[in-house]
Amino acid sequence: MDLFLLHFLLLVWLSLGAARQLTDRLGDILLAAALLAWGNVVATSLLLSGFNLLGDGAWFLGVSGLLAGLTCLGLQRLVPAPSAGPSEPPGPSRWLVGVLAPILTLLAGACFALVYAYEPNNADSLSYHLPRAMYYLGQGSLNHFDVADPRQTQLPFNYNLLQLFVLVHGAPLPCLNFINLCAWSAGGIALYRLGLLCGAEASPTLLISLLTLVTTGVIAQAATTTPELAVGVALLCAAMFFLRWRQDRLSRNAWLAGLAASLAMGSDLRAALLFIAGASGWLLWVRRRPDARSVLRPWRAPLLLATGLALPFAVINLANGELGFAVFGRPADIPGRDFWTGWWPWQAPGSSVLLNEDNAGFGLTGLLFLLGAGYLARCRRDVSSWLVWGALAWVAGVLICHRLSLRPRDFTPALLLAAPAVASLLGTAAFSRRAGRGLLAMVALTALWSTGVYLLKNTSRPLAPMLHASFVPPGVPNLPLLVEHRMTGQPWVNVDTDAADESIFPFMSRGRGQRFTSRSTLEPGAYNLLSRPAAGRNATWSTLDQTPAYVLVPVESKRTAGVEFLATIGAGSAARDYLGLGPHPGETTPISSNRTLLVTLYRMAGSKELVRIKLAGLNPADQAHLVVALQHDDGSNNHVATITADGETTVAITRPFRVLVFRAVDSGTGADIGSAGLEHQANSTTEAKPLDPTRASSISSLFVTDIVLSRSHGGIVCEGLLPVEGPFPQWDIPYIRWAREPLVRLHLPPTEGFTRLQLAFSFRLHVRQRGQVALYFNGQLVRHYTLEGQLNWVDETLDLPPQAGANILEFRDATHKTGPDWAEYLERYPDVKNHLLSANLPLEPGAESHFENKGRAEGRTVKMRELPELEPAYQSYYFMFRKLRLEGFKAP
Amino acid sequence: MNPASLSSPSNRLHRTMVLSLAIAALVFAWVRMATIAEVDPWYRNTDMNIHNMADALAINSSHSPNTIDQPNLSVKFLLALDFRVRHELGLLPVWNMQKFGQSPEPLHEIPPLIRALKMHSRMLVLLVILAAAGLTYVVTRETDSVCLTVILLCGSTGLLFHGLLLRPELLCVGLGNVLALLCSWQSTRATRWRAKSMWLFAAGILVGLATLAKLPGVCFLALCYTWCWLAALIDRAENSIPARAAAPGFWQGLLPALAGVFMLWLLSHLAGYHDLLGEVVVSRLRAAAVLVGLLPLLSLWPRPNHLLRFFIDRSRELAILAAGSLAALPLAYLLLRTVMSETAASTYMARTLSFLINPGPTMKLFLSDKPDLLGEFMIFFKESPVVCAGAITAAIVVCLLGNVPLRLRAFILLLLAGAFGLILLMCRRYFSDQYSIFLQVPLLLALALSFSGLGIWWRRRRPAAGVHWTASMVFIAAFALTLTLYVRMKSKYSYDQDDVPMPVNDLTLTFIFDHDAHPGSYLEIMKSRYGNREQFARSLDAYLANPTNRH
Repeated sequence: MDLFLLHFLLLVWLSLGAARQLTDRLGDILLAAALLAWGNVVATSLLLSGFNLLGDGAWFLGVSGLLAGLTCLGLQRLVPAPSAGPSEPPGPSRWLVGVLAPILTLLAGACFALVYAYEPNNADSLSYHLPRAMYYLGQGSLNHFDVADPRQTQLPFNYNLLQLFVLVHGAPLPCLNFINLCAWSAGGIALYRLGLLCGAEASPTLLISLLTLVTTGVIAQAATTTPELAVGVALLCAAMFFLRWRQDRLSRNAWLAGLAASLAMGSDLRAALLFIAGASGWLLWVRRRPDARSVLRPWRAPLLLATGLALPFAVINLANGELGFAVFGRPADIPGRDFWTGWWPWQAPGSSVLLNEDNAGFGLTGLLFLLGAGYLARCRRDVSSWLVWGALAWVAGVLICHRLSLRPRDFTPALLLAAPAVASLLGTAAFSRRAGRGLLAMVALTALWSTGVYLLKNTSRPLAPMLHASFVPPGVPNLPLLVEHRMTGQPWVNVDTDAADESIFPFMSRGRGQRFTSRSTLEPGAYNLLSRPAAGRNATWSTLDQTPAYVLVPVESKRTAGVEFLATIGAGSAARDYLGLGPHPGETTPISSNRTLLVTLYRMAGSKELVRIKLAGLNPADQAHLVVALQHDDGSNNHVATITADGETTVAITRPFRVLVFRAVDSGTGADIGSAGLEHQANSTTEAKPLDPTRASSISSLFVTDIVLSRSHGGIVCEGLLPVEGPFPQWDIPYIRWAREPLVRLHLPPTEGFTRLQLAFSFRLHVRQRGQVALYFNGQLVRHYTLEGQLNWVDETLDLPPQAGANILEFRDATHKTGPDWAEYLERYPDVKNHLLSANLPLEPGAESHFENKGRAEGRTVKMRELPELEPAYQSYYFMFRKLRLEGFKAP
Repeated sequence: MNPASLSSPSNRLHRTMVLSLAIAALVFAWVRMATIAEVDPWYRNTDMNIHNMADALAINSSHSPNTIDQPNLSVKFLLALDFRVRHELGLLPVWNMQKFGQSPEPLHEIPPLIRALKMHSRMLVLLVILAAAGLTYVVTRETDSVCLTVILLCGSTGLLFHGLLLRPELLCVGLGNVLALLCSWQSTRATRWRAKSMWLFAAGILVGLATLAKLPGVCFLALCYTWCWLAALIDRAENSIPARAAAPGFWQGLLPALAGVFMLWLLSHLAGYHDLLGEVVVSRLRAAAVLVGLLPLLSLWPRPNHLLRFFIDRSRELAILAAGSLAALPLAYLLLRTVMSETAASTYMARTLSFLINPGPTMKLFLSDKPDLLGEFMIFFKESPVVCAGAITAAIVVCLLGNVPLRLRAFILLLLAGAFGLILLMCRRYFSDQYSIFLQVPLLLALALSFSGLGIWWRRRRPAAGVHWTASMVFIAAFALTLTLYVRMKSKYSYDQDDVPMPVNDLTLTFIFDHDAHPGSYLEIMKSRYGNREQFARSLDAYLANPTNRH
């Protein structure tokens, strides 16, 4: 945070120092400084990306500071921009300023409060704006990374680099919101300046600028992390400095216009298309003029600058064989019908209506601007009509690119472009008439009211609850405790996901100084977070076209750590399962929850037979391999493939089958140590199974359950265990069940064909330092277990032969009290015994008396022995079980 | 003053007499302080003396001192430097904790260290008197006033008391009430914007260092800033605005921005100590750095009207002053780094900042809930009724005289207001003997400046006349007052501490042996050499049994 503030202060002052040499008026200086600062961040990122140093905060600060310093010092040699002459138009009327200033101050204050209080929660930002910046930081460059969502890599990135600037220094997340608040403020200045340059009078320009700023669709973006507002403001700046160049022909204005254009183009593909079209049209028009050469000469260098700052994303796309248009082929995030629901923002949000920056509309202001733009496009041929055509071109671009996948915020740049032109229209016609003023006042009041309603009651970051002192604004969505616990301490997290629209940023905002990469291959040195569709958990071969499928192969005898199931987040078709594979798993001892292999299946595009199988969790130290086989209806098997290590394998499955079986086989003995299967066709009569970490390890399994983790135990009755609790990551305790009684008894119902019971359990003490447990099966003692220490888990897997009919399994506390063994003391020290006998004293009390009075001082010792009575645990906390898995098998 | 009158024999005689009296007063004050120190047992006033000594030894050994109820950083740092210099000159064999620990009898090393500490205090007192004389000179440009300042301050028990022991109040007043005000005055007189900014920035740094000595030093920031306002208002009233408005707002703002960056650098450097600093402290320092860095942006306001320009100028002055104060913190850290390792300096700085920026919790423990302000104030008044009454009377008289420059009158009133305001604030802690310096130094300065004002009035009224005979009488009276110093100071010093009798009392024993505010290394050395408290008490008694070991 401190480095971020330091960097921010440096950029502010050095950019201002440079900007005041380039231009004269305060508004223009502030805009130029903002553009220079943004350009500095982009240039720094591009430079550092070339050396893979993008994730290093110190380098970022150093290079950015150096660039800003050099720019500032270099520009000091320029002759300062000439100050405003006597031709300066008169300012706005004082009463208008007096009325508008408090309104604007109030709204700006409200936005500031929202920005300060809320962490980013825009869905797009959480799924691809912010993760993109984090991945760039993680890999140290702006190169593509492995993603299923092309928006994360192929879209222009200049706006995301601003977010990267915040994230590289580890600033608190609300700082990300300040980017748009600054853009909103700069937008107000640019609107006013551009309106004046379009020939409008000051008062209508001020009014329209304010009206634009307070329009719901615009102000909604002032406190969020979406790029459209910043892109629109960059467009305004480009137009403004272009018009200034037209006025005074100073090349510095051409430079600033080029810089603004490059930032807009490098932030939004639509802006790039708009600029290319606009610049081409202007070039064609200029070339017909006799002074074309002199007009175009000052633009050569700015054009190079614009190319240098805007096109790197395209170069990276091309280098990766992409054109960058794949993003437009995505299915709609918000169906077209939703586009209209938020268009009229005075609709107070109901319980079912989402009202946020994605769908807050422009209301009557939008309509007014649309009508004004239509009139100007038809009747005017001056600079204001250029802006209107630009706005209309933007609208057309959005409609073409997104078809029905529209959101009101996509039109923000168009509204901003049209606003100065409308101001010039009002200055000449409507504003001078009473009816026009009345209409404008009505629109303004409606906009203010809508904005008030929006700010107070929107569904993403409402202001109303903040008026209560006790309200704590929600942060980035919480993660399940286990996920948070596993990820927080990891310095490097590699994300392997197949999701196209996944809210992954919450995973990245928990720890400090963590590095995130996105690679589809497992990184042995990183904590690998594997994200799979929850629907794929119970998928079948026949549904592989719609969703990838995955199966977990439990391997109880696994020698090293494997994949651990962490949590399911979300609901319905968007639900995702998250699994984790710790760093260096081949060198890590497994725990009860990660003795698992993850097998994911993807259908190869354009083929019904080719399947990509991706395996995770199998380490060389496991001395095992995975056999993929087809099992047919008649029970016969066909070998498909043998996979010996983590990675991807493509197989062709040409024959029909009943179950695609994945068997973990011990390479030494050839024995099956775990298995799972993917059915060809879903059995419509069986209910889709919930995730069960105790899935059968073999296809000969009759039943399987974990008394701790499973929701249903299939007729097995458990006595002596409390309901499941946890997990408690702060104490490194997973889901557990307490044994608060000295006896835990499990009744297994009669099961036909039941020939073998595999019992796997993991338990430990809690209040006692030492304890003993006797395991009985059907009344017969199986084994005694001694537990030492309060934190040491005892893990065991046993195969037991069941009896016909019902079976009973018992864990009996066998911890006896201990006491001094005086008989042994007397045996060891016969002189003491002789003395007691000669004195005719009772033996055991005499031995105790001797030890206390003389023996201890003489260095004699007493051994302890178990006493007949049992020792109760304090408050009956006998044991805690983290695993109690029962799997019954039939004869093979 | 008429140049002819200046060279008249009577004036030359007057000048010679004034200079002689001032020098004599300085020598007299030094001798008195030295005399008292010579016969004063070293184990007196251990409250601060031993504490400062142990911390200075710790600083020289790169151990982080503890912070108690005052930052006291600049005091300890200067003392540590003094020990180093004396050691280099061969005057002090033990100058750090290692040497102290290596001594076969650490107890025997304490008296020479305390003697060096008292010598250090006397020199600081002397420097404060000279700095005050400098302030009088830049305000009046008159030798007489300068000499009167020296004579008056040499007779101040409140000031010279601090030459007998080492406490943070002396540096706090010297840096904040004297030098920072001097820089502020110079800033408002400067005609170039660079000089103006640098003087103001220097004032800020001095206030920062004064605050690092003692928390109330921060009040001098308000005093300096008030002077900026008063000077600006006077300039407007007299239409004598210096030609400094041409300064570009951007460059003027760079200094605060750099101070903000400097502060943020320190915070980032102390990132590993944020737990020690606490969330409140970190947030406040961050906010201060950013606000100070951004406040001068107001200077970029286009074409402001007169009123707005006035406020923008004041905001810029506030930013520069605050920037100086803020920059004093990283500056102090860098100074510490010259003698301490990074870990020790960072820990010490973090402890100091933790107290300095969020003093509320600690202050609640020390401040009286229901202070008897009037009663406590009367104690201050009773100690120096002549000074209080004289300064107030002189100030009133000067303010009523029309011929005295408005600027001088405003400055005198500012000194009075600052003195009484600060002392009322300090009344919540019942430390009248130690805190009277906060009252006496500014009052005596105001007295000297009032004397200058009366002189101006007289010369304007009678331009041809030389120095009025009453001026010489004032000097003689002031010097006579100085001669009574010994009696007044001796009684004040004795009244303050009753720790002369033998055997030493428990508190003294604690401060010498096992006070928990001492650095761990000091406690270890004493414990390993002398065992427990009783054993140490026996050793101390045996050592002090020889009268030659008591001084």
